[in-house]
Amino acid sequence: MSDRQHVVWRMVLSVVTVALVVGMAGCRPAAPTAAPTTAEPTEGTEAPPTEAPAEEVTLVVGVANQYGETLDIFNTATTMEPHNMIYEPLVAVDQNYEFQPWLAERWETSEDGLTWTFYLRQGVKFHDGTDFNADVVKWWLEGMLEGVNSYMFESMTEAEVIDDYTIALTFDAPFPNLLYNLSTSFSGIMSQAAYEQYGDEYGTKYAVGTGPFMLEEWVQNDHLLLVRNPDYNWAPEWTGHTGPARVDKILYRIIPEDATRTIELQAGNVDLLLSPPPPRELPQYQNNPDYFYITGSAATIQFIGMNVNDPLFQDLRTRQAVGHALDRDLIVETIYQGLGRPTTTYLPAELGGDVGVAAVAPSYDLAQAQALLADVGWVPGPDGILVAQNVEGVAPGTRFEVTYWTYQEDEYRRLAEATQSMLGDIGIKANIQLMDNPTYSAQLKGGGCQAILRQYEWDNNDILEWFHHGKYLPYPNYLGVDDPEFDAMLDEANFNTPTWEERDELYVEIHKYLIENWYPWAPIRQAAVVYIGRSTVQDFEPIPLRGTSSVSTWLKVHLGE
Amino acid sequence: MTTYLIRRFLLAIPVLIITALLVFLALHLSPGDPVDVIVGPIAPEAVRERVRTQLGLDRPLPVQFVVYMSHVARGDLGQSILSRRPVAEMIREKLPVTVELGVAAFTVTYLLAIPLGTLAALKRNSFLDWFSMILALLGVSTPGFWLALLLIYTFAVHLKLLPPTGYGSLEHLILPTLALGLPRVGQVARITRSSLLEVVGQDYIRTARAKGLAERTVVIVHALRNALIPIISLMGLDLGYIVGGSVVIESVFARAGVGAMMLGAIYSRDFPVLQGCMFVLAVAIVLGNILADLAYVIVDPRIRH
Repeated sequence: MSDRQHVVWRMVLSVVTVALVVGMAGCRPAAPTAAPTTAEPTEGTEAPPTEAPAEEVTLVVGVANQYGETLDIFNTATTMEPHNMIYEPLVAVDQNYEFQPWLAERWETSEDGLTWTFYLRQGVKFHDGTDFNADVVKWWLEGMLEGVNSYMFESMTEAEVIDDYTIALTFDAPFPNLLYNLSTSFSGIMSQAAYEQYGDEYGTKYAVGTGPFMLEEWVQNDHLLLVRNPDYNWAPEWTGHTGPARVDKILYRIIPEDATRTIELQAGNVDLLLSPPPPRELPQYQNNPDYFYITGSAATIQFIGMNVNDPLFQDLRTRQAVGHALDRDLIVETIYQGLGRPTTTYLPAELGGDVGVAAVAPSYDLAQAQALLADVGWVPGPDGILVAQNVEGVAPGTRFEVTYWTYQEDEYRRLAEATQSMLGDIGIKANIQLMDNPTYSAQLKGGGCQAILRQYEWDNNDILEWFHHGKYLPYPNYLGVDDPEFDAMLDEANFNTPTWEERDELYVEIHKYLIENWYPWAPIRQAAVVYIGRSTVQDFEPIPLRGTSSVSTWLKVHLGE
Repeated sequence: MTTYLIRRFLLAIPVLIITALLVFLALHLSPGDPVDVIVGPIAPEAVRERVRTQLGLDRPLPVQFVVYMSHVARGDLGQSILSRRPVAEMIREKLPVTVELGVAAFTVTYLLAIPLGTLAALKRNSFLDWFSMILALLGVSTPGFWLALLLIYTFAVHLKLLPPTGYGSLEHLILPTLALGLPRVGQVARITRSSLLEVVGQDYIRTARAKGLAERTVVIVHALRNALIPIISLMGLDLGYIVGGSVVIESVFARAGVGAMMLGAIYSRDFPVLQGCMFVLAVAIVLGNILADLAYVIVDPRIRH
């Protein structure tokens, strides 16, 4: 190349490089594009409440994780709080964990228990102006049946629109759980008109419901901005506030790092944390006039699961011994700083399905644990680990050593280590394996688990059916409980009792039976929810077990002095 | 020259295809099923199968790969499995956040490191030299995460000068840039220093000095130009990584960029999003390398193609 060409090349390349750098630097993150425009800058908004315009109040909520990817209920199995700000269900749950009317004013069941008639509230409108009526509810039910949450209404044979505000649902068997399924975060009614209009963009860019807030914009993994629905005035009387929401906007911010999230709270840029800092940081917020601190029960039970078909665990007494080996109080004290409730039963206390069950469930008793294992035929080996001497189905000389799977999160690593040590005390060697969520599920599906440390999060007694009914072998019934008598009891409760109350009573029996005859889980703790916020947040009332998954919570909360 | 460029670009294509194939295999062969993430744990097998078919995840792997690549060739990176948003749109939305930080950190690193390294070389065994070496050690040993938190506590919490999290304005950019850019300064300075030391000992430098040229001219026009060659190779690689972003820094400062998006996609096994991000990252690295090679040609007349 000649000198001249050389110089030209250099100039061209310099220009290109400079242009690239300038171009990339000038490539600012796009300004918020929302269909309705707003004057307020939303990216990284951190103006403390006192700097916002006097008339406009924004509640800033901080969470660690977005959890859900879409607000399209037909196609998602995860929900987040905004579902309960934008959408409303037909039925709601109150502070006493009882079903109350919401978008349905009342309902009745037919004599044979197969048909439910719902009388809908009138005068309710979607954010796009269309009416809420029986036609939309029918459309919604049919949409749910085609989506990923179809199990919720599987046994429905017909949804009949009787008139604009009356709809009759017929099932092929009594369905006492219907009210529950109509009251969850997945049960919010979406606008048919909007759903059909926006197609693939529905759920991420647009979401239209009847709730006290409307979606203004959603920048994935960064924030959601919701604005008050000014026309909202149809919350039922029992909530104590029918009128529109008490804040103008809610800014739902996703801040993944624990440390920065708490910094934002302390700096006053975030008003309310739905994802609390680790337990050891909590004491500074208790009894602190600048903050409020609320704890409540979560519908989360942590347990050690044991594969009932594994030769080492197949004797019921062995599994009961594990239940006797766990010092639950110590765990709650040291790992969780006293938060949560040690439990020996399988269901959250608030559900009522554990009345009297604790009496038959194994509790902390090392001597009993050792006695049971000796009964089964295990003797301590030279290093303290049990060795089979006379155990049915286990070759003599086999050591009691098992794999122990659990989640990779810090909390579970610590819990696994603590329980591993307690199992070691009775001579069981548990080898911990940590894994991420999808891998954990895949491993369980693959079969062959021995001991697992896991949790479930569900606020309904039928969780027992989900994990232990014979029809769910080999997954999610990966622990292998297979008992026709037990299955019959479950079927009776789920499909043959007309009312919720009778179902509840049957579940107490089911619960007891499972613990006395199978004991596949050695439960440890019922988790607690913790909410921390600035003291300016008022009337923040989460619901037991459901926490902030309720429309009423967001309807009533506001910022004051 | 032009043939060289064309050849490089053509060679990039099989590189990209192989990268895409490796990513594809890694995703599909590792445990974890996106269908589980979508339908949740409480769903009957029939629903699972239905969703799997809808997403085309039940077809044989080679078919899935070929279909995917044919779409990519047309510019269609597919849709997120979970939100059904077009992946290209998602990346377009998040890329500016990441690139902004990446370019700023890149600039800070090299703007500080090259002069520092040069001075250290010229004033060997002086305080400056010693200082840059300590800095290098600190930089390599300091976890970026820790430095980030330290910066936040100092400037955002105690001094209240800058915002702790978010993106969008220059103020939001300062702390993350320092957290991402500073740790590498020492390392790059050291490389600059050793490279320059080697060059300065060469005969042609002695000749230049003998010619009576000012020391500054000798250093900048003659020595640096040659010493920068290894630095340029570093810059080329770094340019590529700008696009990938730093997941850790983005997470700590709550900057929702490509890094955060990839992390979320990993947890939810959102294949199309992951594949799309990886592909864009691969393209950026390949381009960065080509640019670096081109820069060589400019800086070093001995390299001719």
